Amino acid sequence: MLELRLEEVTKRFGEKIAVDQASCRMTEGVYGLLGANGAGKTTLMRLICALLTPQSGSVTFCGEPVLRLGAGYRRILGYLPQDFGYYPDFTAEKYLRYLAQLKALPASILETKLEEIWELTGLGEARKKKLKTFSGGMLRRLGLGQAILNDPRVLVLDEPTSGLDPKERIRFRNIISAMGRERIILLSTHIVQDVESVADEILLMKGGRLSAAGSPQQMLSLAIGKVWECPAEGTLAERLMAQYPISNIRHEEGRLKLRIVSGERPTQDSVLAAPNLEDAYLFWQTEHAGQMGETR
Amino acid sequence: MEDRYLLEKIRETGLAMDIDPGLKERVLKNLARDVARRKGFPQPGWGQLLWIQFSFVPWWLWASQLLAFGGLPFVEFLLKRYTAISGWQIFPALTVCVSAAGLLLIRELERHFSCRTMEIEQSCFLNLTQLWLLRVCCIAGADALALLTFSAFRARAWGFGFFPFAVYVLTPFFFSHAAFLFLFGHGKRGGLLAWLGTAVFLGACVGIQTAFPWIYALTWLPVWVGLFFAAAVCFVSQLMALYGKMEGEGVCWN
Repeated sequence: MLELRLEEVTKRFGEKIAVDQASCRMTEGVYGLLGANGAGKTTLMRLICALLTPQSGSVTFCGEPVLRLGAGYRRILGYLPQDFGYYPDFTAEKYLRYLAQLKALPASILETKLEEIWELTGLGEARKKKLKTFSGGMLRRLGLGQAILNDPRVLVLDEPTSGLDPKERIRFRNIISAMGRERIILLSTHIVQDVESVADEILLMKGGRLSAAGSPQQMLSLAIGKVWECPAEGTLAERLMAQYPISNIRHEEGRLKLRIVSGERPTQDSVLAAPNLEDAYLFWQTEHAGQMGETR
Repeated sequence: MEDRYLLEKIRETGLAMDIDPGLKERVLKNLARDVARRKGFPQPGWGQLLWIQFSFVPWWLWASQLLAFGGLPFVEFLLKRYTAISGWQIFPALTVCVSAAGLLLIRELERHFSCRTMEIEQSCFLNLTQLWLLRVCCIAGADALALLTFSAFRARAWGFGFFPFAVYVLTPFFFSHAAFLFLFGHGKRGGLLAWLGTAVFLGACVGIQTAFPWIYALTWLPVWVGLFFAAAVCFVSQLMALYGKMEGEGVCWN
């Protein structure tokens, strides 16, 4: 069984605490790391990838600190950074071959592995094209390709869907779903829908603290009875928007309909609505941080 | 016969033993964990590591290095043809050429930053700092070899033996490379005072040789040999500093 454990991990940059005593335990499965921009997701992922050294606490893989495992850990690690860099004059194939060499992939399996990646990412036809001609979506797919090149036991994907159009995002989610559950996959995003369908468990991050976790169903159950649809106009709408977190606003029959996340009924004519993960996330963000208990 | 006796004894003892299911589960779990962690992979050999360097270093770097060192005979020809210099007066020109080669090398190391690939590379089995170490060793090694070859063929023409000529040329080569590596490494990370101090020291080592070429003629050869070793130590120490320090914040792009 694989086990990645964070124990009281803290990382500061000068005065700013980017990750504050983060603790969790991850085993095989897909984990979605949700948090607003600047919540500390990228720093946490870099700590997990042993790119950064924490000031206190430890990140261990199967009981051994990842920093001590060194190359042994990097060998079973796949990482797609948020800002995916590439050599513009390399072709897709040359880029993957280059990284395969750095990942010390045996030559005997390289060709088979490349074929698998072309098929998975749908980049087979573009393999001979230079990376400077690739679209954002193609580059992200190539980024995922390089991350899984060494068949990693720990796969860390930092905002893999940022800047992608909806079609590419769905494609990306399908690739992750198809990758199987025999590894630890950590996927960070600030877009709730990206993890809704693929994550087995959701980690939430706010102000550097990894404060809650649970399955998407557990998260949803948090918001049951807390989501209201409320018709409103003019000053009432303005007042409600100032008073409550709003997950959606739409026009219906010439009136505004607000979707409000709140523990109390906002107005007499508000009706309860079935929550979605976005509502649950908003609810957690605004009112109930830290209520969901420890990670498994 | 003895084996069968032992096996029977073990079986008898084993059957008589009380097995702790909790302990057994823990032992099996630990075994599974160790197997998962040490999933077999072959280690890349030196040949493969060198191949990575030579196959993925861009063509322009080799071309420019060739130009810098291939240019040495050309510079020498021009100096001989159009000036009246002789003896030690060739060294300032050579110092400039070997320093230029160092600049090109640093440009290549900087490419990982300008293309923002360092974070991915740092997360690979052969990480960025190891990659740099190998790359500098390969390229600087090839350059030093080119200088030695040049010295072997051309030292006599300038009135020197091979050994002093090579020492005179390789000393600024190592000093300049150390200076560039220092600027590169500490430019990313490091205190201002240390940065300034070392930069001034290393810069002076190269600059003095270039600005006051008569030092070559006046300085006793063993002093130059000492300087050569000092330069080599500076170079190696900067290489190790680059390997050791370029981690964490140094390679994470923001």
